Amino acid sequence: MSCVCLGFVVFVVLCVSVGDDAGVAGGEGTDDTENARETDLDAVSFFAALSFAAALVAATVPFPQRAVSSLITNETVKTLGDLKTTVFNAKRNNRHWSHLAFVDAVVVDASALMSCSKNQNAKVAEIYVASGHPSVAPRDLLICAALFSRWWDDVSDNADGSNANDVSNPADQAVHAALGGTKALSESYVLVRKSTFGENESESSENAECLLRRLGDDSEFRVRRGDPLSTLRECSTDEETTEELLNASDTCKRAGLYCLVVAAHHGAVDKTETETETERTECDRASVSVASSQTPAAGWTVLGLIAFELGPLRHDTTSVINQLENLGVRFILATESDAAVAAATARRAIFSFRK
Amino acid sequence: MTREFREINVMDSHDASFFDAPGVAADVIANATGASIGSLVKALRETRRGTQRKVAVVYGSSRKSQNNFAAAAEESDVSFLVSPNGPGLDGGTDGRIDRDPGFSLHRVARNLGSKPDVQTAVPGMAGLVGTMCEARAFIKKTQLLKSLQLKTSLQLLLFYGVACAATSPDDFKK
Repeated sequence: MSCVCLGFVVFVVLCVSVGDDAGVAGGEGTDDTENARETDLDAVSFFAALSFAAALVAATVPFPQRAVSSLITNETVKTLGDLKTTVFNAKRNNRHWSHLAFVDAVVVDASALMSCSKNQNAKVAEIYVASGHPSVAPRDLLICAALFSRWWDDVSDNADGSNANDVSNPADQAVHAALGGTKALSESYVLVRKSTFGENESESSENAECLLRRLGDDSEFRVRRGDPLSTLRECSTDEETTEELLNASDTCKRAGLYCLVVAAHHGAVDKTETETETERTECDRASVSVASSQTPAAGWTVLGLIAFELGPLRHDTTSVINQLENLGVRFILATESDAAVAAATARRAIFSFRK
Repeated sequence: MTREFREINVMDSHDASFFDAPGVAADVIANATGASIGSLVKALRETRRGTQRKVAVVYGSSRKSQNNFAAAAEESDVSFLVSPNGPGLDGGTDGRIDRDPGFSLHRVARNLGSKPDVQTAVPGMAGLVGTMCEARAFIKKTQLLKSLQLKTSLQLLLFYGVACAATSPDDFKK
């Protein structure tokens, strides 16, 4: 506004000064022709002063950036109403939207890059059975791993008894696919209680322990499934088995596979604890979960290790990261996985364009 | 691609103090927790203090992902929530910029008359990159218009300056 006032003041000053000059010049002539020429001169001076003031205003007044930019970018603007709406919306959104232009570092959660499509589930890549248990078959490990999820006793109406679409845990998805459906398990076992084990809070999300009842003879047993380090620590096992499974785990992690160790407890289960458990509330179960994590490691036998190939990255992940790099944006991937899996995943797909 | 292979720099993080020093050089943060990611973003922002450059965080729609990135979203300049499997910008991507719950990529794309390559882009990171490119193009276009404005104004001033210097009111008299 001050610039417009400045331009107006300049315009008035110029008009006055030119008018004075014309008045002085007009005083000298007396005939009509000369008066007409002076009138033309006044008009020329007036428009010259007007143009100069307009140029001054154009040079100093802030440009209506948003309106003009929106007008240019929005080809649908045809009427004044459209223009007003566009300018209004642009003003409303531009404050947030334009911030993205200055982003030069992006921290991305790995899960945001993963494809969770229903037909692209995680898969079981490798099964290592501990050498101390020759009678244990790979399928037994899969069954033990499958017993953790409640979804298998809530079978859908599909012909093959599958309900993988309801499963969010990649490990459960993979086990379900490897077993080819788990309807038979739901007719043989009942999941009585599920809890977590492990010392660290971050570990407890992956480390699960469950108490199961076999329907045929009503016998009960416990199984554990968790990340190799904490599971081997929590379940007492001999050094040879520990070293064997840790080596296998390292090999799998270097290949970008996600590993879980499966263990079973052969000790007797306290019946009274089990019966009262079914009547407990959710709040009580939380306390049982804590108590369960403090159970002694004695009696647990590590059966083996299952390596999962996690779901593939989104099909556009590589191109997106390539674009970000071309834009000069620093890309940092943050993941809950450990270093070996994270590096393998990044090397496998995310940074493959650098090869 | 003919780019030279660069070894990925993986940092193993267990606590927030890991990132206390600014200027973190990492491509991948392993064993990341909510505290460590928040600390990482804070350290990244420290290196950009006083500049226009900003740090963005992108996280998934799962509860676990949102919990881990809650602290990072608070520390960042721009937070972006993506839903990896939505049908498209109409409902699949829920962009959240500067903690503004009303923001949506689709609305911005519609209001700013985005070209089809953005409107038909798949959700997720592609939506973010598309919007980032649009924003940069917007800024560039604005700067271009500013320079055009300045150029035109200077030309006008030069013209009238030369005209005033070279002429006098007597030149208009016959």
